[in-house]
Amino acid sequence: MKKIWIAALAALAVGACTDFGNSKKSVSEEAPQISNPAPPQKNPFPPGYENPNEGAFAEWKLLVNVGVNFLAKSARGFSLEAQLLEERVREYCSAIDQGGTGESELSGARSQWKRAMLGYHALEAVAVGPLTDSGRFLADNIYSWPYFNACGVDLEAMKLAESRKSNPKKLFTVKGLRALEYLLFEPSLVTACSAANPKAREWTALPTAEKRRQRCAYALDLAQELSGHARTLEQAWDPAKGNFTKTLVDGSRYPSVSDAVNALSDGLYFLEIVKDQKIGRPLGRHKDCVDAAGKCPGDVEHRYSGISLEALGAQLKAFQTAFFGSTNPDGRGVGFDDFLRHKGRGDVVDSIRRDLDRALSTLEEASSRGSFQEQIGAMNPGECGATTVTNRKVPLCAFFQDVRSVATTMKVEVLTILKLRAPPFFGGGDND
Amino acid sequence: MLLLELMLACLAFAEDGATRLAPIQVLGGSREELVLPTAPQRVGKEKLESSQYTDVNRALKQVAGVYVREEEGQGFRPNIGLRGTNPDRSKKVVILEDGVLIGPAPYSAPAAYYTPNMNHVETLEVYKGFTAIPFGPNSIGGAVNYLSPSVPSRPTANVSAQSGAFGARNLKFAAGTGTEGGLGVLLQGSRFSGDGFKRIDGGGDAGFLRNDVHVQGRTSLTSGERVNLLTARFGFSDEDSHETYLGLTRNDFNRDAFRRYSSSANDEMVWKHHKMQLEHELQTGRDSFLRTTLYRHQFHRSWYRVDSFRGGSMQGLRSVMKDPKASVLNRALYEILTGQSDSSSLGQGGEIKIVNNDRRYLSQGVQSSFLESLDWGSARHDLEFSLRWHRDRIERNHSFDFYEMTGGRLARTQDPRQQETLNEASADARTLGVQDNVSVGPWVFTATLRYEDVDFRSEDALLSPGSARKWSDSVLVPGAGALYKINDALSLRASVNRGVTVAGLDLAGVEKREESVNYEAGVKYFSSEEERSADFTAFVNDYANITGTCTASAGCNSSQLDVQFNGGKARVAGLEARFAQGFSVGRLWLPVQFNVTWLKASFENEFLSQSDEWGRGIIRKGMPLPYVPELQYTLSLGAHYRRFRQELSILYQGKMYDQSYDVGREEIEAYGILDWNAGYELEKGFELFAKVDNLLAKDYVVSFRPAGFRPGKPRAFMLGVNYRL
Repeated sequence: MKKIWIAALAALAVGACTDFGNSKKSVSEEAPQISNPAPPQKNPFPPGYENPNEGAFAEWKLLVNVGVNFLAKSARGFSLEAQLLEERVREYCSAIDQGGTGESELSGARSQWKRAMLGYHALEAVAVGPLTDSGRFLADNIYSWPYFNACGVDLEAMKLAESRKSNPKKLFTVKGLRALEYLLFEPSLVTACSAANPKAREWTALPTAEKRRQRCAYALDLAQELSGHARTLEQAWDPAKGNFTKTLVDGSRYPSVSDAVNALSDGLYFLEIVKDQKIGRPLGRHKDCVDAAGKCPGDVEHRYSGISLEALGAQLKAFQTAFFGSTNPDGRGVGFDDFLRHKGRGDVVDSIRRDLDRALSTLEEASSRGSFQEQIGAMNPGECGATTVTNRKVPLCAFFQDVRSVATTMKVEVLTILKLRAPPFFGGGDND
Repeated sequence: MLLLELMLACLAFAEDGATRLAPIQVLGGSREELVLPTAPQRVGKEKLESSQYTDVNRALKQVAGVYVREEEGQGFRPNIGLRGTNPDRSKKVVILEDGVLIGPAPYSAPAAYYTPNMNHVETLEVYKGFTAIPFGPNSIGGAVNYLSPSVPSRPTANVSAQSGAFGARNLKFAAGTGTEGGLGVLLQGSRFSGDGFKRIDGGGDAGFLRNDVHVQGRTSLTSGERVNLLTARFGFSDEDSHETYLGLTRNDFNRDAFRRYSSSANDEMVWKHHKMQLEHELQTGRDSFLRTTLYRHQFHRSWYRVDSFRGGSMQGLRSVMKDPKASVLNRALYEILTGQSDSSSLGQGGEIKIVNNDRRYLSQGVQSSFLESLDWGSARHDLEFSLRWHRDRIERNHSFDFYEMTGGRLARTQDPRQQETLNEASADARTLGVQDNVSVGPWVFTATLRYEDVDFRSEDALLSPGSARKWSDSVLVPGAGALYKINDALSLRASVNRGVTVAGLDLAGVEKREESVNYEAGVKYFSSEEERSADFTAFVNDYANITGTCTASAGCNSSQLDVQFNGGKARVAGLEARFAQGFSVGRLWLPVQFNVTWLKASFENEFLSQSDEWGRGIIRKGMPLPYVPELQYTLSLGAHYRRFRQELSILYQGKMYDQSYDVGREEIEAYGILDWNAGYELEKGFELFAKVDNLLAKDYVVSFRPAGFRPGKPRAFMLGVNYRL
């Protein structure tokens, strides 16, 4: 018996001794530095993928149609708008450098920023693939919302004026379209930094023209970087270059076509953020609005430019396009609606279509009554709380309820019917 | 007769007057286990006293088949698993104290945030599989019963003072007196405190304080020979511990496992527990006995802790901990959590949300067991009928504050405190149990049955009116077993039973039961003369539907807390073995004990998981159940010489996974630790003792959920003195 025990002890000691010491064998490798994704190579479709919108439904057709006809085209459009934005900002900077007020150039730059911003919103509404690869490198660097450091933007503008060199290590919260909105639209030229910050005092002491010049120079620095990111995104989707659409269907990244469809549906879940953070929170219909007044007009997405309602429209239309596979819900493009009909659930398609139509028409009507921020300022939060899809007391709050209905149908019905999993960070209506 | 004999033996009041239902044990086994198919396995009084456990996790590792997931390293909130169940918050095992449900709300919120303080526990009983059928509700895996000492029949006193590493101090006393079979009282109290072994960046309190007071009073209602006793028990426990869910990134863990980020400096768990029990024990005949217990337990806890960033979620925080360099955002959030950057660098999105998860629980009921032994022909029947009416309730009042990280310190923003959750859930359960052990010659056949009928109700005060939901479920849990005594030292046994757990709250409104068929076979050997015992068990739990229940500690969203998910088919197969042998060399006695558990627990079907506990994605056949180690063993090497005793324990736990879904899954590596304890009896009843936990100072990960890697207890010594009157 003693021998057996000794043998057992020896076996245990030899077999598992490494687990008793601090070998640090599990040290993981340092993650690589985040950087701009590599320029995409050519990635042509194999034969058979030419006509996604013909014949019986297949999941690959949904992917190819939405990829080629919507996302690749949107990426191309956004890239052009970003390049134009760079030009318009350059013109504005030249005008004020030459001693002018640059008013018309500023107006041109603002208009172009708006077009670029709306173009990006269409892509953001279905964030998948190149936009979110490499740790959301392009998404965060193009548009940092909801993160933003206005004081940091002012400090970077001053730093650029001092060093005359672009800072390659800027945090994403001080660049991209959000920082550009602040630089082009913030009218007071008062720094966002606290008065205790010595740099704030330096900024305040600057002449107004110099403040404009420094903000413009930094805006140009950011517009150049933005234009580069937009080109990278365009090339990644371009069927003649990176052709990410092919990556969706060829099994090189997603184990099955269904997994790729799930990736696309994960992207559509951005609607939850639109509902909660972009609509619900400013209206006081989300727990993150913590103002005693019961509403948070200051939390609207585009408070400097005032295009929040247009932006919401762009995002909902992008959702609609990806869902129906076409800008027109009656169009021929293959989308999630076809997938649902294929499963015999045309009723769910009709429900989403009805809610989306109602949301978009309510939004259009509301847009003529002033900015989102102004309308929330004049709104009675109690009436907003009492507003439902049927009892439409406050139109914007009814709009929120419409979007909520779409989001609920997506979560409860669409995922179940199409056997798709919810993306990891959206659980069971936690944010409602 | 067996059960009744044991019951009456218990009431005969052992000479030291402080032992309840404690059959003679020899090195990890007992004769009771050899001959009674429904007997539990025990960690006995002697073992608990000699090891001076304050952490039930370490005590339970002495039993084959029990695996635990440590959490804060002290065992304050144990995570106990049995037979493949997820150990998270012990929600899939039944937690009892003196045979009474002691979890805060075992039906409506099974996560056991309260378990009895080991300072007042005398013995632990573990019921696995078949033997746990009578208990319910979550007894497919098994049950753990904490036994406190019974009222003594003569004056007794016990005082213990301990002090050790990391400012740990443990003072406990017990004093009581009584007459044989009559009046008696027992008072127990303890105060356990320490500075904690983690260091918060920038300073801060990481310590804890736990108090525990219990009083028992007993009187005999008649002066006859038959037992007719009334016992009242009152208990109060509280805890104030600066604990957090926030762990470390892998690299930070490897650099300093005992670091805590400055963002967790305000985290604190505070709770209070009140216990009231009235027990009546009546010998109704020569061979019959009735025990009835009325109980009411209240538990109120409030955990103020880092939850997420403003607008984010616990999963988002976990993503930062998983890979802080995965994105520019993750890097920025990591720098805020660690105090390297200010929240203002990200604007409002960089503000830290600290939740105040306040929950009140009530658990009350009455239970009655009637035991009778009868001779029918050549068969002896030991019958037990039990009834329980139970009601429990949980009220969740969750709110949150926002904090800014500025210069490495947390500062509350001007935002007022916000309400996040205001809901309640309750359950009324009626349980009927019948068990018959039929002895015929060398055979003991067991038939056992539990019937449960439960009404649930839930209501969310923050949702619109009409959110209240009600549903009911009834389950029948039958089982049958057989034991064959080959001789006085060896027996074979086998059993089969249905395992069913009533359906819990399901978000989609599709309540479904957890159901399985469990098979078990084994052999036991016990020889007190040769100081040798052995036990080998093989089992298969075949689930038709396995369920998961969400908790914050598993990383679920607040809206999913205590919500059930269905996982379909799963299979848990395992082997449990226990060997013990005492060697005598002159006056030197060398007890050696070894237990080992091998488990293979995996899903048997493909389904789409929406649960954070299992991971979101398509779960495929063969994917492992989370936090179930495949291999675990404990080897104890003791030595007793005259007044000196020592024991070295080698504890090994194999690798496990934090979720089933293989995308983004984290492996919790295998680890082995050594614990040591020793004592020297200066004179009778007066002992000096020392113990060292984690003798080799192994840094090991105990969990990645819910938000980062957290360490097990580092090397820690404790010195103390015990005095027993």
